[in-house]
Amino acid sequence: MNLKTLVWRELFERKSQMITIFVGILLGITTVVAIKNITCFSEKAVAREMDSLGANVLVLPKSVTLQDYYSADMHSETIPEEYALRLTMSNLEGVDNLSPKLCVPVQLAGRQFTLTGILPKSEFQAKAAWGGAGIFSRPIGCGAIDMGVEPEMEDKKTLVRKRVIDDLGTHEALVGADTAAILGVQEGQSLHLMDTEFSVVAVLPETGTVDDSRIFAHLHTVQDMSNKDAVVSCIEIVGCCKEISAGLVGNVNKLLPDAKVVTVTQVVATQTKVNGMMEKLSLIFVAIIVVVGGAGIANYMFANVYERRREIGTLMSLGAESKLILQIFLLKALLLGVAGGVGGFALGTILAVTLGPRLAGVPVLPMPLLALWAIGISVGITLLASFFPARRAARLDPVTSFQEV
Amino acid sequence: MKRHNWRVRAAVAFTMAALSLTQTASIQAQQNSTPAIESASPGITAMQQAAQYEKYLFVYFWKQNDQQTQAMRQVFQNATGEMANVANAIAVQITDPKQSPIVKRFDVSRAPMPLVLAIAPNGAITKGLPVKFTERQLQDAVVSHGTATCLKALQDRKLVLLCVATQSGANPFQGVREFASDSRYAASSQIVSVDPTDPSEKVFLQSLKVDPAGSTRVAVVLAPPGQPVATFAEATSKAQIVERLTAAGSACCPGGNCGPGGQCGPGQQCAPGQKCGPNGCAPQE
Repeated sequence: MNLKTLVWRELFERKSQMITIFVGILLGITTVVAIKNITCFSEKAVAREMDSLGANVLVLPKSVTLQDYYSADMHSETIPEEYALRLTMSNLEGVDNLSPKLCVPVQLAGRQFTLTGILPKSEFQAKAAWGGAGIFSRPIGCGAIDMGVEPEMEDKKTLVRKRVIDDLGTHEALVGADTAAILGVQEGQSLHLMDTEFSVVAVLPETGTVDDSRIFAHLHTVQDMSNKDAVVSCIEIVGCCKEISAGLVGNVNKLLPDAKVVTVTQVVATQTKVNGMMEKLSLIFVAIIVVVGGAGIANYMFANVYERRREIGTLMSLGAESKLILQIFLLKALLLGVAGGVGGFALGTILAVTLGPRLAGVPVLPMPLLALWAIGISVGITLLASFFPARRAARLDPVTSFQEV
Repeated sequence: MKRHNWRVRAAVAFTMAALSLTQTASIQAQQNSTPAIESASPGITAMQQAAQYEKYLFVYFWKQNDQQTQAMRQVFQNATGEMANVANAIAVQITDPKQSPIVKRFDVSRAPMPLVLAIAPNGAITKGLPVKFTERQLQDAVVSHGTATCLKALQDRKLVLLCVATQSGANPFQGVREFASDSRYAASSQIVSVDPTDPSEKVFLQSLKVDPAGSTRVAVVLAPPGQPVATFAEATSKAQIVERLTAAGSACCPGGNCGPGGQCGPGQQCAPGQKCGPNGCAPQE
């Protein structure tokens, strides 16, 4: 009988206890892996969102949380579209550009996508010139100057970066990278949405954000299709840095007292806070696994050693060295740890990949690095918790153990 | 006495009827000269009338007759009543089918209501005042001739080359004129001349940081919607104007973003340590 057989038999000696311990480790590791995986991709998405968001001030309905906005604005609350014109016609300094949006869910090929209505700049740009004589003495925007000359053909793909589109027909659509891939839609083709035919004028480049699973169309068409009045889910404002620090948000708030006005910095800060909470939660789970799992394993091992001291004594009287006894119990712990770690990583990854997009609104991919982390934690706990019971077994005196029995 | 009163009343009534008929005939004549679809719109007719008499037209757009609408209408009536010599006034309910041509022309069906538009005789909107406004704001909507001309050009998305000079020299603003006649810019630019000694233009010139009392002859370039881009001396050449405007129009911070990849410095240029890339400012390698 070699070491391998001994360990294998030892492992299945008390199946119910072994399974309970294994499930405990498995669930603990699963939870930690899932949380860490989602948090990691959520943080990456925040960074990308920050990069891709040309807009740096958001106007949202009062009751909408920043998390709602972050999850593709799929909330039922709306604000009047006329807020966009109030902003355009106001004498606020530092509003360089703005983009009103309305998001509604649509079903296509059995899957849900976000149809986002956007108002092209051409439809409200002219009203910015209604500022009267005062318009000459206040700074307007901070970006490139409109020289009045006819622009070259607009590259509509810049929407993902600039957040604003100059012109968009009432039956034209821009399709996100993921949506286009899933639906097999290409530029120039038509797209049938809620009994309305759209011409796909551009497939947007991949951004890694929720924009990839969106379909953009003209705001007024989306309002008609979804039987909504002249309302929007949010207004994204491209504000000038200097004026934002000089109190642009407060001034927008004064102009639109019935709306919530936040900066993207606040959105990112909130998301980072959520991620931080998730991180802390995963640490708490690690602590729980260490304490509860470790105590459970130690208890199981101590009980095992105590109940099997006759067999241990027999083995030792037959010539088995203390080292072998120690190896048997530690290898058993190692196997439990590896199995719990691998199983926990696999289950946690599956949970993260399937639930991540729903919970955090971000696409989540497996992280192989977490496997090492999961196995390390799991093995570490089991070995640490089993060390003292194993050492006790290795130090058993065969004579004493026979006497006790 | 009673008989005398009766005669006076009859005379007034006759005069009123005659005036009314004359006016109706005048309106009719104008209506015949405009497209059929707009001729039925009282709003469009009022615009044409005001323009004909070189007067402003203040249009009060409203949707629901709520408290705010009533309160602002009172302000509107008070202000326009005091400006009757320079401005006409009408109220337009945006849901009235007869008024749809004027609502469509200014695209105000989704605008915040009530809304006042002040329209200069040249068609420029000299002020748009949504929701809440004061009599003073309405009075300020009557602007100088130079301001209205510039606003009209800017609202037509044209670059304005504002020449500020008292007297024309032998070859005034040659560079500016060459620029405006260049085939690349002719359709999208307009020269506007303003006399700095005209007291009505004082405020306008001050808002452009041009000293009305100064003797220097300058050209100010205004870009839509109303941004002063550059001020040139009269002798500036066309090449210099083109160079300056090209630099202003190709700033590296479209949008002036504050997030990563969009750090804008003064003059819409990238912040120190960044360079202009295809997606705006990017860190220098």
